[in-house]
Amino acid sequence: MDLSTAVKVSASGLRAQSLRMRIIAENLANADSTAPTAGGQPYRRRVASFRADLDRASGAETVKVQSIDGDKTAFQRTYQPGSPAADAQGYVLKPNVNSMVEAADMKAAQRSYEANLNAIEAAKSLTMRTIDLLK
Amino acid sequence: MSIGALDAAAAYGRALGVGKTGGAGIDIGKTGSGGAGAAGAAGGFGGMVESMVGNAATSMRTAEAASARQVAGKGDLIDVVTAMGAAETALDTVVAVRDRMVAAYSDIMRMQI
Repeated sequence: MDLSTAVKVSASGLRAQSLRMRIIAENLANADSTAPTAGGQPYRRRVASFRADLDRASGAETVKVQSIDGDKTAFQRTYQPGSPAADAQGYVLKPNVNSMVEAADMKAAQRSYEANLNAIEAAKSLTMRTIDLLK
Repeated sequence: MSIGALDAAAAYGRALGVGKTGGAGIDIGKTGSGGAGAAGAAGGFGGMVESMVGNAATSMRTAEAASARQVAGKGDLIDVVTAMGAAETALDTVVAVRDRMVAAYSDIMRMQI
């Protein structure tokens, strides 16, 4: 039945968005993670990308995580000679995480998750109402 | 409401076909004449209800297993929700079709001869 397939597709959307939410949480949590060694690379912001995936059993296009890649934006460089992560010149590389960007991304993930939840709710209530026709 | 017993049986046939590829409905005649798997021996209405309940029980067990995994911390909440939804739908369909069939049978029993 197509309504149960709709639930399945929306569930794949929920999974994708919860992974996106996890990546955003990682980015926010690591916003201050500097390099473990002197002059090394700090935490690099990560972004999840998705792709459509054909579910052959039902013929529906579900969503799958394509990859989780590092953001190529340059790191911030601050002068902190006392830091254990500072290089020979006293500069520390800071992660390329921008909390504003993450906040906007988080809102988008949240809205998308909610949209999928609403789709599941709608499909479920339609199924129930159809069954109610029998009663 | 104008859903007859035959319509209910046809709905049951479609419900049976949900899990299979293509989603094609099952011929009612086949179900009635012992095509309902293990319950085939009973045949007719009893066999039909038995196989329906069996199907619903299978999806309930899947949902139970998913929630047990979730409680143990190894499962996925989304799996639990979808499995529970499928089980609920299956059980509701079984109950609705059963009620409809029983009502049809009692209508026949009450018939003036």
